[in-house]
Amino acid sequence: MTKKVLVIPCSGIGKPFGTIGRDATLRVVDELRPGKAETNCLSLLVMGDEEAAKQVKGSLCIAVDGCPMECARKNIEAAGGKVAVHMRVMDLLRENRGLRPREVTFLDEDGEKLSAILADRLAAKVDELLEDRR
Amino acid sequence: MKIRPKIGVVSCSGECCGLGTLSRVATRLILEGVRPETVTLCLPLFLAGDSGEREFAQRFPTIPVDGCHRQCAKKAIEKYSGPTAADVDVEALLEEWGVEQPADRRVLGEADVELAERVAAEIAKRIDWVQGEQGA
Amino acid sequence: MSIPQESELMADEYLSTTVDKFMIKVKKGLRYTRDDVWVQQTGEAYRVGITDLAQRMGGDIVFVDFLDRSEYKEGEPLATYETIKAVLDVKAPFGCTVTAFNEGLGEKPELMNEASYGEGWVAEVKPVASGKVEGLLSDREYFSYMKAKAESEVRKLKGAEDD
Repeated sequence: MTKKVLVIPCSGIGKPFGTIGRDATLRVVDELRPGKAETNCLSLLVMGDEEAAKQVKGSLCIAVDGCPMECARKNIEAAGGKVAVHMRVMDLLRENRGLRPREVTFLDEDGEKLSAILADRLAAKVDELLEDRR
Repeated sequence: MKIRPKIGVVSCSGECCGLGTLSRVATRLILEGVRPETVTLCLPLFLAGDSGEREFAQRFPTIPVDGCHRQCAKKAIEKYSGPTAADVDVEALLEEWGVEQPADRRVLGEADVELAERVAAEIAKRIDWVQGEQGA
Repeated sequence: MSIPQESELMADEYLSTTVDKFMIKVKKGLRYTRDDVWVQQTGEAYRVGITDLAQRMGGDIVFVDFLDRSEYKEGEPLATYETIKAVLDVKAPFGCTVTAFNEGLGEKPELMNEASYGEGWVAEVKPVASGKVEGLLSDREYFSYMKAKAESEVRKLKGAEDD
């Protein structure tokens, strides 16, 4: 198995949740846990890219979904990956009732806040998964 | 009475690099103002088998906007719905313009946003061409 | 490629129409209000919920709050549901009392999006003496109303023009 945790967001383009999930994933992979977490394009997995398929089968995966459609989880499982942790941005929003992220293209203030909260949660999960693996 | 046909635009997921971010932002700019009459299809939903997204792409002309040469969006449309009406390869566009991709795949700087607007203008050209063909 | 016309599909359970990429459904056999609420008789009581159009226009529902009153006038909110866009009302279809709320929506508000005519029901109500059950729309009447409303919303959002 590879040593990094694979974090895959749905990146849904129609709702703020997709942008938030994507943004949080990139925060974790590039800023909070570089070298410990990585990401890849969901569509590469589904379209049968060989390297992506090897990566998803050889990694512990965290699926980050925006909404109850759960496209990331479904597509990772369909590609033969094991979803060790599943997070939905909507569930996080329910824990933070005061936040109203509205923008999709560029995150607004509430979107940024929710992304930061999600990124911290994801980073903690990455640590847990890597700890469990030892 | 001239009826403008519906056009679908679908962006690649694009997590792997700044090209994907450009692709995504340019597609959103199309929806938000450049050509608001278009319909943006959600690629992850399309891949997960949502009938609404796939049926739209079967019935109406659809333009994939791909960040790179791997062309995930184009291949997905062709596999699950049918031939695409036109397409955009952002990597190829940047090469043609002699411009580097954004350094940061998460946060676009001012110059990167202008680049996304330039890509959106290219998408718009293709939309206009497809609509012109359909209206003929 | 020829330009397809919108079609009304007469599936077994639903009247439906396609607007943009969305198929919007009206369940046959129910009654409706212009506030996008469906009503189904269940013995002496009536079960109510929001229609497919309402859930699509509202967006993903994250919270549902039930409003506890002894009696509701027609048009008064029985419950509110919150999306990231707005807080919206589920309006009483006629003067009534509430016999039950769908408490499951507290944990899974998304049922109102995913199963708006089924598990996503909102409340069970009994009409009060002055409650006008007969004034509700039939499924076909609501379908016509819904279709016009959906098309108008899309036109507003898209700013589509006919030359």
